[in-house]
Amino acid sequence: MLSHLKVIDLAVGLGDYTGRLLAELGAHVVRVEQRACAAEHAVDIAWNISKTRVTLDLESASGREQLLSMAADVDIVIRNAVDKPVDHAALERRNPRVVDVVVAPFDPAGPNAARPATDLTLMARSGLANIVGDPDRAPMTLPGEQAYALAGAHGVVAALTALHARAATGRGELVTISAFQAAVLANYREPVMWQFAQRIGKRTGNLLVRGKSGVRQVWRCRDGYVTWSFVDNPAMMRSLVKVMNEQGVKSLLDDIEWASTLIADSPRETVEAWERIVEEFFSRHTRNDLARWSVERGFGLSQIDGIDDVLASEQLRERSMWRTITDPRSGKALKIPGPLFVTSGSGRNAS
Amino acid sequence: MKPLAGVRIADFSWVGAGPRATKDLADYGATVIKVESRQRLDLGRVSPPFKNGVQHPDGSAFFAISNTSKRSVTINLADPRGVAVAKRLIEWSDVVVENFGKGYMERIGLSYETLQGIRPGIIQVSVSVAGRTGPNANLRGYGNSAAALSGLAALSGWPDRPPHMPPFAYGDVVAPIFATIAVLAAIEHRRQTGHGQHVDVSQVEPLVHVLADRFVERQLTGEARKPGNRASGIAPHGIYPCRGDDKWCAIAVRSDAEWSRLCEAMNSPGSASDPRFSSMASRKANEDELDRVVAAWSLDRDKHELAELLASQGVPAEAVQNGREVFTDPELAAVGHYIRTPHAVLGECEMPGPPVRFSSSEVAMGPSPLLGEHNREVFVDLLGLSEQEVADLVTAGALS
Repeated sequence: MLSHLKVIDLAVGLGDYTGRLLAELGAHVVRVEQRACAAEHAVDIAWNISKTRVTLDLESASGREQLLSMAADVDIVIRNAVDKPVDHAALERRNPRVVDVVVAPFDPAGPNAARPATDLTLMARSGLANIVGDPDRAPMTLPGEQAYALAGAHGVVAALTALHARAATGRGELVTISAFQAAVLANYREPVMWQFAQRIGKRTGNLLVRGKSGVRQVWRCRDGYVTWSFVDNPAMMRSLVKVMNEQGVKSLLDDIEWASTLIADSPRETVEAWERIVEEFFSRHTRNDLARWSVERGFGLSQIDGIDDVLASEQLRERSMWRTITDPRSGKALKIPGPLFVTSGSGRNAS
Repeated sequence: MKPLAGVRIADFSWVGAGPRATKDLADYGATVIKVESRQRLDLGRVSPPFKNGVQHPDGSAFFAISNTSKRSVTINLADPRGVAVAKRLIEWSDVVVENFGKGYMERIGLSYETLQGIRPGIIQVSVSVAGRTGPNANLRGYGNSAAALSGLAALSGWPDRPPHMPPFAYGDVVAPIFATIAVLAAIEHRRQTGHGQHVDVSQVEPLVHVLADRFVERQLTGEARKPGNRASGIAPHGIYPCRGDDKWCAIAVRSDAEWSRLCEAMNSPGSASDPRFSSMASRKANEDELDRVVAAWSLDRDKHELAELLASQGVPAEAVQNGREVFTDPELAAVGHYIRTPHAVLGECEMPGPPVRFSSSEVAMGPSPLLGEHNREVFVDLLGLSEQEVADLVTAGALS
């Protein structure tokens, strides 16, 4: 889709994902490194695959001049600071059409521009860690580097938005992305709950608290785990009850008029009584049977896949989600997430 | 000038995954017309919290933060006369966004082929749990289904406990950003080629994408355990107890130099040369004991003071904040993250803006729309229906 775009990627860690996504969309991304990448090998593969690598001594005047020469005809530059290794004005002088994307832990114009940060500390400050995990243990982060990933993806949105503006004005601009703010934006419940209901959320394990009540999200089944919840969607509720009936389960769920029942307003004790019935039903069936019935009948259940299940997923294989690469160090064939979506052109990310 | 000024979007999406995608586009200046129906309310409109705790279609703060800067019209898509009006809206549009179940758009006569006939070059972005092809194409579900099928749930939580689903749907966060990218990339592509396209965004695949490092590590090293709060090549890397009930501070030490500074802050310079901890490799090898040492020190300290102390020494550290602390975070106030936005039902509210600052383009966020607030403006002024036609269609239930 974006094979006409040229990108220089100067990011280190945070911001790598912006270039990775642009490369996956077809852009020609040149990763300029001061020295060989020091990132963990798995992280380096995950975030920097599909980029052309170039090493420059960016601490020297000649290296910076080489960089500016390279930037003279690119569309996008990605980096972590407004003034390093060259300042924005120098880039703009050399290429007034360049979209200069700075992905930083905090807003570079804000009071914490120089504050040290990692993905973990940003997740903590964003409030996300406060609600991840169990009530009897410490807060948790999410797996991977999610504040960095969110910021990287917002970097692509910002770059493409600025390119659209450039088509009208003829000029590029500086766009800055705060990873902290990206993580806060992902925390879409907690700050708004405080603002409008003065309620402070806590870790609730696998219980999803809504309104006056809460619903369980993770269930053990005969051979693993599935996810399903009581939701305010009468069609889904009726569908599950019907499948349970067909499997010989008659219960008080049969008599509930779901269209006039708001789960969020139902007392937790009531929901718990309903959940005990569902728990018993799920425990007697396999992940595959439950998931198949859900696809066929639409009651919103999914099996919980482990990392190997996902790598072997027939759904992802049929949609050509994975690309296979060869790890240059070990020679191993590795599956990595490939194109971002399927298009009506000729497949994934096609035209 | 707003950067996406002139981009026209007919937004048929609802709940979380679609509306958040078009929210960003609207905040950046696209004209986004949200198609809703009183016959089947957007579930976002019935999601708490509500103004004064009273459920009202225009009183959901959850809906409000997901739909800023949009316009709303009511069209009953179950009525062919409503679909006819929808087609006039599509004729006006550059982009159609929807997240109905597979086949719904086709059933009501709005297949992509039909859309192309109405407006050549049109872009359609469809968001669904597992995508519109493959054996799970008909899967119905929410963001938690995406967490389950992507490995996120299995990788989340403590290594000694079952899969974890935190109380927010991360699939409803990441997929909308991918959908926004899809819209913008397709517009950029059309500018080059003149061709539109139908983009099929799955909620599962974006989550797999943002977990790419975990999948690569599994294949390289065989490591399949949940990481908990730990990270390769960084130690300490954890969330440590502080003074008070449920008070915590995250600390991450990326180098031996940062470890030395942490030891100075702990007033324990000997720990820096302690052979159990003196190198990253030894700290990783003795991580349980390392965490006990740090936790014993952090336990009596205020979480914010601890974070400030360490950050001032160049060691990444932040207090774990709750919703109130995030809403009142001084960094967010200083950079204008929350934008005061008047809303007819919610009153003056602070809506979170995009995490992006443009040097030239303008981001001006407006309120979320009331249900059908822009019916007259869109049906009469924009699409050219007469007042009488609109009144008749409203009475007939086609525009409701």
